[in-house]
Amino acid sequence: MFFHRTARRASVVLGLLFLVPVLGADTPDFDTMLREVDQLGQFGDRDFSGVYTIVSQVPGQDDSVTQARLFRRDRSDQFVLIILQPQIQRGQGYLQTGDTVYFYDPESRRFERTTLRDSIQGTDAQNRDLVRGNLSQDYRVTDWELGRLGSFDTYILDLEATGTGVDYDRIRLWVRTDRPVVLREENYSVSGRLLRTLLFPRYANVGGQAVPTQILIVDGINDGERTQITLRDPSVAPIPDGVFTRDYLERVSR
Amino acid sequence: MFSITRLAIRNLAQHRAKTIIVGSIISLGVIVLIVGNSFMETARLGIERAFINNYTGHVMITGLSRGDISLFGVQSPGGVEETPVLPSVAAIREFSLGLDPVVQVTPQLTTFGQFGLDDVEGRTFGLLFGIDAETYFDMFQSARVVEGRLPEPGERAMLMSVQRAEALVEAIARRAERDGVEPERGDVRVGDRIAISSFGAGGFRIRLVPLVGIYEPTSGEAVGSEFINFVDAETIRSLTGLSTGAGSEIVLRDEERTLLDAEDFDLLFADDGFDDFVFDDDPGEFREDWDAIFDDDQEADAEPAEIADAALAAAGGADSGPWNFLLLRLDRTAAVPAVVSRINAFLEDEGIAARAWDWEQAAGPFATTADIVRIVFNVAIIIVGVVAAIVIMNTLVISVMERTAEIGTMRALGAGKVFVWRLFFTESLVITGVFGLIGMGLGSLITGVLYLIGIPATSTFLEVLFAGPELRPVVSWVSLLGSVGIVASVAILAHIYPVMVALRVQPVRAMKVD
Repeated sequence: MFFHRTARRASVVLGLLFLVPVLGADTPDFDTMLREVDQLGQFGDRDFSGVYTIVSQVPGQDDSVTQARLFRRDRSDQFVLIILQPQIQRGQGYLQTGDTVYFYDPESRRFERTTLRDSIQGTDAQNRDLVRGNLSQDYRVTDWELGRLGSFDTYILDLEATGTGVDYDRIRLWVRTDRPVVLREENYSVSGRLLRTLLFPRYANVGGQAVPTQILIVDGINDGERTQITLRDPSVAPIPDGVFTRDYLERVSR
Repeated sequence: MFSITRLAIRNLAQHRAKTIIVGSIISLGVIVLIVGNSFMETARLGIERAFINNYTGHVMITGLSRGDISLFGVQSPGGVEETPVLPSVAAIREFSLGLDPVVQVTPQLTTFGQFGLDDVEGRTFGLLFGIDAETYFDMFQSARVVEGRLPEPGERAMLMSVQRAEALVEAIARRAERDGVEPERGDVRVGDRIAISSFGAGGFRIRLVPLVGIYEPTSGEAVGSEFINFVDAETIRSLTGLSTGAGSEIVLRDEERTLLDAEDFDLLFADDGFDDFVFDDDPGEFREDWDAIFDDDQEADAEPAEIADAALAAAGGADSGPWNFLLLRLDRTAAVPAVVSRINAFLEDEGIAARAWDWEQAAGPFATTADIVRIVFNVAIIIVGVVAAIVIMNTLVISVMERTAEIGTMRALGAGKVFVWRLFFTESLVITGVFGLIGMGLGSLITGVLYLIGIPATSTFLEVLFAGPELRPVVSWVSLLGSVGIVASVAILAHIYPVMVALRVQPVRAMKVD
């Protein structure tokens, strides 16, 4: 009897001793993973442009549709977003140069300072959704688990902001286990309330870089409010320096 | 009856000291109730008058919203949501004007915005009422122009409150101080171009309007008016994107809205999801001319404002454009519940997604704040009233108990129980009648003096409570008679128990009581 009990204990201890290195080996390097997620959406020395269609759905109202053309230059943290449609907003635009984001209104011909977290034309989409992210610098992984989303195995990561200069205090990410691609993102407030869910079912892939071509944003506060962002005509052709200027926004909207 | 009254008066005269003490307490109670009620009633009427006359009218009609709606916007659990557009404005207006008590109707738009002088740094924040100048200033004479004039019907213009103009000057000075430069302007003048920015369905927008006037409230009762600025409806529509006609003008491809209908998010991730898209590194067609990024089939030459105007003209002119509210003035406040009910029945019958509300709902957070303050005030008055009642009761109980021997003697001399009851009842009536009248007189006098002096509202709290910068209490007949009635009831009730006890005592024993 004593022998059996001792043998059982020994087997449990041995089992645990073997399990520890196994668990350690399976735990991915999340810092590297977040860096890869950031890198995959960055164009480095190349410019990027494309046309985004943003369809916003609010229960009881007609869908609102906005089309905008985006010019991005990640190496110098610059972007220009120009509203193409609807007619009444045509020519309005956003310009980021460094840390500053301006909004331009062609009717008043004025620039106003704004931020990346500003909503695009009143939808759930924000300027930051169309430009590169910086998860590896702004967040750290506090917890993780394995999960499945559709046909994909995913790491489900709980991220916590490392500083105060971010839009969301907590983020939950679903990252494919076979490639560092985000499939789902949940943004939470400081109090832990779900503010919005983003789903990235389709990407455009070229030369190892990935750009979401379809994004669904589900409002966590207002039930039934959804926004879809769709990318078309993506391009990495060089963009003249003059595009990333206030002068260009004024000229192009005339 | 006459002999009992005479006997009661004689008794009261005989116990002069006691009568004066009890009577003084009754008078004091009446004074407290009259002055307190006058305060309460004047404040209540003041708040009602301030809102009905200055902003809300008697009835407000709005589109449906999830949150609590008022003339100042929609409050929802997630924050402030967009104020709904009122559907079928023309039909509702026609029906409302057909109702007997409705004498005036005006439409309104409401939004919040930042504004400042064009090309001058420094902005302030304010409430923007988009109005129909033709009907608005007929219905609400709340604005006294101190500089310039009222906006004309159909004119693109802004009328700014004196307080906001001062706040803007301060904002310009603060901004200059922060930038380490001299303020570009030390005042706001009629004729200045005001840049207003706001955020609505049209996104973040800026509009320029000429400042045609600066106003201050006419009555001094307009709580919160310092934040209100009047702007023409077209500018507000343009700021908030109400003329955009949603997204109907854009033809979408199937893949641009398929995700919106997704019920099971897992199904979105059924396949690989990667389009092996080959980027075109050569300059494409739109890049041949970087200044022509808009598609050819769009009306690139049209200014957004022109498109908005065209859309409105197509809809039958500016007046038929979208509005947030219809405000109704009635010929009497008492008709409000009936009118609200009839309009709501009409809206339901016609299947119009809108609802009518009374002025209190229209006043929203301002009325709620005033209500809370008023409740606190009422509770304070009730506590004072209850304390006064207890003191009166206590004094009367003691005074009757002291007369137990007298009651015993009366009973021994053959007075029946009914006679004793009637005697004490009459004494109570006489004492409350005489001293109640004295209290009424003194209470009215004190209230009259306070009316002449006026009680200044020395804080925002008191300003909300008084519905203006000062309170001039007025005595109403209801308050006068009500106060005397309450005190008389207390005095009469206070007699019942001690007289009942005294009557239970045997006359012989009662006579032995000192």
